[in-house]
Amino acid sequence: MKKKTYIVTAATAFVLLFSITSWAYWKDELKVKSTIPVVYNVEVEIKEEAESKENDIIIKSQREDVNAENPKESVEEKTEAESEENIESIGTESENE
Amino acid sequence: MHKKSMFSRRSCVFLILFLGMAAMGGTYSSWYSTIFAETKVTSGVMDVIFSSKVSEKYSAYITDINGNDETPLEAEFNTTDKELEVVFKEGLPVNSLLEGKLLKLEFPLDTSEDSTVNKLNHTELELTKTGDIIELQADRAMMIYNGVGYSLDENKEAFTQPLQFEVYKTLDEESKSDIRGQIYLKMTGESIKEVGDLPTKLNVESEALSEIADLDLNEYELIGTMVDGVMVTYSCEIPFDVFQSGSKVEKSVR
Repeated sequence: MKKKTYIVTAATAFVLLFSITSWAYWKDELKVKSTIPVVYNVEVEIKEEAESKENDIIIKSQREDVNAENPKESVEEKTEAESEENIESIGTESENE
Repeated sequence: MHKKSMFSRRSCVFLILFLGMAAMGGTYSSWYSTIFAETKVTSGVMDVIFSSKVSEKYSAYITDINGNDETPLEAEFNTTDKELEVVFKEGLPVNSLLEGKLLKLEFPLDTSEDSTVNKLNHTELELTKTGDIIELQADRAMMIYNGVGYSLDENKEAFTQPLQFEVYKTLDEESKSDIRGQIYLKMTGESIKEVGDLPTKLNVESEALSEIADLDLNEYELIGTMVDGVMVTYSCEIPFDVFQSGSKVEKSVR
């Protein structure tokens, strides 16, 4: 019985060893390395802050010029703005109460 | 008396034989010279290498959905015997990959002088089968504006997600000295969906722009040729197994 086991084990080991050797014989391995740059179509919009500040300054100066030419309109605008502020302040006081 | 003569006769025969043997030995030794014969027995060698002879046969293409060459891509191919490095000189338009087109790398192969196995197992492109999945990791992402590379900041994470591709490997032989290997990469449906969800418009304040300084020469040249958008560089390493002709390998994508 023991003899039989030894024979079977030896035969299995031999077949395994032979198969591994054959496998190595049939195959060769190469390697391909790459860095792939992929381009995504994205619309890029850059906001220029300096330009916007300049625009603000220009608008302000234009307003001042307009106010100087039509003082009545400017007074009306001011009163409107003041009244809006008053309404807001009243609203906040009532909320606090 | 008779016994004595017998003895002397035997002694004489023995003596003659002895002298004869000694003479033969002497003669043999004088004529003898040593000759060694050495034999090395090996099982055979299979040694396939990237060809260094025909550099013009290395190429990269965007193919149509059936794998037919469509647009050539400019790339540099650096080889050692067992390794090939592909450096792209232009960016791959992601829209082509989203449409189901493939990226194809083609390279000539050769067998070394020591190789005893010269017949290789050919494989054909079968896009109906599912290829091996490979994941490309993003090395770097940048926003390109007016030929300058800027960091992506909060959008970086979205653009640096890895992409998955199906890999198809083929080998064909036009003549004994012209063996060519091909690798095809096809973006998986999952990755196509992920790319579709990426932002298509970036609004950046000029003050928040920070130019990327540590660009290598290739990146610097790449950016110079590109239109405004986002460029992500992915790296990958693909093994290419070659089998001896007649080996019992499935003639499929392997």
